[in-house]
Amino acid sequence: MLSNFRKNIGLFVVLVLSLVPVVIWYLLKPYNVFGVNIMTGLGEIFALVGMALFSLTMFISARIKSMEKYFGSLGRSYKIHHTLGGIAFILLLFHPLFLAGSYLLVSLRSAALFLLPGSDVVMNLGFISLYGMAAIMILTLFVKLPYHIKKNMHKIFGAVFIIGALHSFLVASDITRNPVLFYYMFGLFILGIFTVFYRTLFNRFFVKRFKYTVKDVKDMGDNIIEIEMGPCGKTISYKPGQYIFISFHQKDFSSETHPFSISSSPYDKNLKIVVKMLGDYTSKIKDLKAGTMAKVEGPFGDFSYQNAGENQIWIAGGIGITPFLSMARSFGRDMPNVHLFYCTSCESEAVYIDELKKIASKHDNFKLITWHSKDKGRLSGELIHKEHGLKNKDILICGPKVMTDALKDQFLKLGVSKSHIISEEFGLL
Amino acid sequence: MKKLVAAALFVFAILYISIITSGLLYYQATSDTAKLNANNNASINDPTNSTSSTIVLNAQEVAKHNSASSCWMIIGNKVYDITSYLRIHPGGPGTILPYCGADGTAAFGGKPHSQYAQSLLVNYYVGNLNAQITTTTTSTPTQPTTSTQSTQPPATPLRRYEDD
Repeated sequence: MLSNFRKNIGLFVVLVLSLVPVVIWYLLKPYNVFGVNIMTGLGEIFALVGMALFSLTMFISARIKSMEKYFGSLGRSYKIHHTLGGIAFILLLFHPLFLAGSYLLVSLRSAALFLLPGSDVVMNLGFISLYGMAAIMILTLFVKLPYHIKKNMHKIFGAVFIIGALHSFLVASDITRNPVLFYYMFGLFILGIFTVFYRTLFNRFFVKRFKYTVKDVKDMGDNIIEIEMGPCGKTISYKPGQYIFISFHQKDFSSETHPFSISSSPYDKNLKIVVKMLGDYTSKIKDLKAGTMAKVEGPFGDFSYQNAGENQIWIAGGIGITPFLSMARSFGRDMPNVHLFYCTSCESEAVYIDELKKIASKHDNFKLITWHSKDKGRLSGELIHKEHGLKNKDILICGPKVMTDALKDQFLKLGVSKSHIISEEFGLL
Repeated sequence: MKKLVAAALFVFAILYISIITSGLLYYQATSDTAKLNANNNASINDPTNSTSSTIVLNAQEVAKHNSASSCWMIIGNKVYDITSYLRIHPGGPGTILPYCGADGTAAFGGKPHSQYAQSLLVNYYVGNLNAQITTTTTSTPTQPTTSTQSTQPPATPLRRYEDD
């Protein structure tokens, strides 16, 4: 229960902090609120809430480990970040329109002039920031571009944020007129700007990372590579099912940071990740050599059998076996009764089948079922329900989004409650 | 979110373009009619219940309009009726009020007012300082004023002279 409450604290606090400026604004209006032109009022409120949300959305994206639990999981943090970011953008987009609307009282031409760039530097800063934001939004959401380009483009939000903040603190408004509002918005701005620096200028100093050395790069077949690393100093402690953000530092190899699920058991000294060579970055992963340094950030994620009950169904789709590997490899006493469905198109893709069979033979409560969709068709919730029953069972699913979504749907239709289905998606964070 | 953002962008674009185009086109139209009116120099209103009076826009006249319900101001030797503007002034109505009925040239010039702000003044122009203007008041047949709050700003459609 406590964890249920705790995982919503983050969102609750963010929403309250975003609405506080409206309360301050309301209390400070010298005329009573109904004396304020409604267009002006809306324009001002939209700007305040939008800017507050912008600052807080930036902060959520900082990926600060200690903040993760207040949002449930890192995946959920990013979902919240995207939703609030979108709302902030829409609010900021409409605030100049409302203000222009108030100038309609003066004349149609004044309203038009308000929206055009002119000699007012501060106004222009506002428009630059707004259009910069719109451009990044459009490119990110609606245009097909390579992952690393989108990622780098997203960083431009930092600059857009600073320009927008300059506009908001310099333009003649409630903020400049009132110290309480000014310091409040400035405080939120500091939070946002801290994030920008945390992840750029001070990235190497502030972000906690563990140093590891590549020990072995194993080709498992079917374009799947398992990388084993040994610690250089402090070891990262994690729960089976969690993931890390890792970067490798080798000549002629990209030093980009990417997330991967941990496949090793937490009782192992060495850290293992499993990578399927699918994209620009991952296809080069087999070029990694023993001795290369890796920097590890994390662990993140709440995909864990520890959150579930005595009887569990684990469903792994293809490379989605990775988190379950960690769980299986640490299988011992005090583990739940598990049915693991290892789903692949065909036998050759199930590269971990031998190891898992061995583990299953050692533990009565660990049952392994292989499923090849080429032979048996797609695995369905109906089937599992018929053969094994779904009552009082918790279901953990990890695999491609299409598969996870389809199975979730089927289980919900079969009467399984949402709280009994835990899924991990290897989609875009 | 994607759909919402797309919809928002679409609505924004439509409204933005509408305001800009109609604003700029309307200006063309109004500047023509304004010139026409200036040339005619005739009183437009219904003459039955109206009384024409001539007033001189001197400091005393301006000083009569020194409140939020009727705020006139002298800026750079021109008189403006900025009553309706008070609510939307970005600096807040409070900063303008002290200068209602008075000369606000220094305040207006002292505080950096952009060209945009300058351009707004045109819409509130009453006449040049110390000029004589004709005002037409349409008064309704005598009604006993029962309310204590007679804060109706003078409903005078003022002649507008375009600055050339």
